[in-house]
Amino acid sequence: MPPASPATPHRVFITGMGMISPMGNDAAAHIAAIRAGSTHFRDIDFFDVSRQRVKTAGVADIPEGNGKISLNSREEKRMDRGTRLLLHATAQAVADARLEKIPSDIPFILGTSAGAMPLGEAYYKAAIDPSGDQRGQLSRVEHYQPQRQAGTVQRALDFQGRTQIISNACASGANAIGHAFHMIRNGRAEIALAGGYDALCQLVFAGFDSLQALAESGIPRPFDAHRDGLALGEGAAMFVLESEENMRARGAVPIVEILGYGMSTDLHHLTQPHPEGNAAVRSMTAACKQAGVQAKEIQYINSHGTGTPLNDVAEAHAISEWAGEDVGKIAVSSTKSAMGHLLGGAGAIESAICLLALRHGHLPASLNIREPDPACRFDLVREPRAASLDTALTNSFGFGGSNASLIFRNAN
Amino acid sequence: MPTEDFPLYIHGQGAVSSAGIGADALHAACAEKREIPASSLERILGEKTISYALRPVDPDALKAAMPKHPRLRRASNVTKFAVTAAHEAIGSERLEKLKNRELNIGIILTFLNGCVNYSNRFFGEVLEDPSFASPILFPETVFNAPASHIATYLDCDGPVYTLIGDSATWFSALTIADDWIADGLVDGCLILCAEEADWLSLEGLRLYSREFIATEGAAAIYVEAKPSDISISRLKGPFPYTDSTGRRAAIAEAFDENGGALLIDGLSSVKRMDKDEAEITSSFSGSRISPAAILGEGMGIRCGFQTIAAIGALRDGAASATILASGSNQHAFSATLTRTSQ
Repeated sequence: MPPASPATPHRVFITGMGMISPMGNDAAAHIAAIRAGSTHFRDIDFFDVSRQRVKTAGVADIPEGNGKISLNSREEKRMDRGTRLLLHATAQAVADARLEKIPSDIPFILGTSAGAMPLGEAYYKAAIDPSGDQRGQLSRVEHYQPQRQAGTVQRALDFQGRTQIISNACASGANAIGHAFHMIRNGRAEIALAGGYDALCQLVFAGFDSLQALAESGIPRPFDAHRDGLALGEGAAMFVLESEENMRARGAVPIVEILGYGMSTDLHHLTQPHPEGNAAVRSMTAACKQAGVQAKEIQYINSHGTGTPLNDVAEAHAISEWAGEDVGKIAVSSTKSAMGHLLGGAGAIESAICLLALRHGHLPASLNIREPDPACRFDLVREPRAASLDTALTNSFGFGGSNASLIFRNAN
Repeated sequence: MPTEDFPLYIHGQGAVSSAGIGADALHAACAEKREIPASSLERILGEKTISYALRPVDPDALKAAMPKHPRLRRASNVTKFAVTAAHEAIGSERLEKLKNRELNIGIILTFLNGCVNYSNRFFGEVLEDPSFASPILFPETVFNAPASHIATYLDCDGPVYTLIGDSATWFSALTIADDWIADGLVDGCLILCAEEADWLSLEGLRLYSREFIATEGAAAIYVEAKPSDISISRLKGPFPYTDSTGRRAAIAEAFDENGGALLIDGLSSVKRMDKDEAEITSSFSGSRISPAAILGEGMGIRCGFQTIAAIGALRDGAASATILASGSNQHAFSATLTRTSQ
């Protein structure tokens, strides 16, 4: 493929998607959950939450068995929860794109915040055990590394392209998709696998609890005037991205075109956004500029919408500032209200939600709202509803001020 | 596999290492092939005291050199190393331009272990009693906390990535910097790597070999497309692999015997761990520098230190230097740095 100059970039399409989250294990389960407006939180039973303030989260049901993969039983058994989520979503994306054979050199661009942290936790617990028993420690320390998670998935599905793992906290998944989009747009790859994942783990759960960032009821209420925090979740979403040329040459069917990717860094505070959401405005503006669209052309925003008091009001201000007088025409919701915050997987699963909304013409809702925050000047979607959609944007804002926005347009 | 003719030019460098604060200290130790004396880090487990060999960063020298900023008061060592290296690589003139919004840069920080010290402390508190686990520690355990602090210190509100991977991820970051600059997203890019010593990571390293002497610190380079006296004239890779057989083949593919008269290799003096790279490069007849053998095994900072050593060799008169980045479990690269007529 000839390198594209910035003046003549390649068009980039998504031709396959795979997903697993508390909503379910595939696209059909997700669109059913979106239409039903159902929430998906339950007790955590795979690490100790007995002394935590909050004991629930959005837990994914990971199917037993991994289909046809090239791993021996020992490797398969050794996979941690995060790797299993990633493998599930990647295999599904490849199948959805009808790739007969995955190109062996396909770039594998991933976003994750915690990687294989459960293995790190097991390593730590064994290391402080006074018995000094080191059996299994080398395996834990090796497979704790996110590049080994990626390598396991690559071996399972028989490909070996370059792996790049972006860890920009809660924006990681959106950054990974955006980065792969840029690679193809600028002629540095013809096709890529990109997305994000994170599994629930004790350290991160206890961390958010220590910050008192988790909703005590276990039910997050993004954009509610009396919201009191987020719920954590887990999952993965992966996508096959292709240049228009590559897609047409193999007769693939596009789901959406990716139009723009914007990123910015909020310097206000390590864990709090600028109250006016100024970095969020820059991120959305940059995505629109690259997409060649105006704010008024965006019909739906899947917001970052965590449900914490500071995030939602900053994002609401940012959307109002960015959209100007058209803000009331833009539908906005936070699907974290239904499945929780997937951290490194959030930007990816919320991109998948946008794709489903565009494909099925159905707006997902911000659930659990009793009284909308007065900062919400946009069309806050409180019940799922049918809509004719062409263009959607998703926001992901992370710890450390990492902001990313992606814009998708229906390809059908 | 791709071989990229850049060129990308190095406009600044910075380092914090067991040789001292600053790139010059690292250069001098490597040029003199002066192995830094090892000390030890200890922990008590039950009735045993476990000792880990370490070439640490001098904490007093770091404290004296580290830039001051409110965000850095509670930051972890890994952040302190990285921001000190960043400060040196950016330099006061560019720092002023950044503050005045006259320069638009990107930041890419690469990690293998990340913020291991605070993670150790925080998870220890969680296991003890989660209701007393510190909300101040937790945000500092997040992989991108150091990059966030550096961005704030430099007033950089543009693109910032934290990349996770083995030591060769440093060169993966270089390919992203090249993309960002070519796309007009930024004027230049600051690339960093950092590691901090903690018994948790040192014990992990020792599981691979008890002969390893670990180290810590950070490396930084600032690159632009605008010419300077040193170019990264060629980048060969990545050569990805997912197992040990693949690793050997990847190193062989990355290694270019005719790449130049000076090889900056990744050998650490631990024969069993060096075996593949040592055998593949055994026919190389030019000069060699092995920063890991001099400074210690830095895990995620090995390739950054190799690059700083290469820049030093060029400043000392070498016309070019080739860096072989073998990674540990992900990918291999090689890069050629060339002295230009600037």
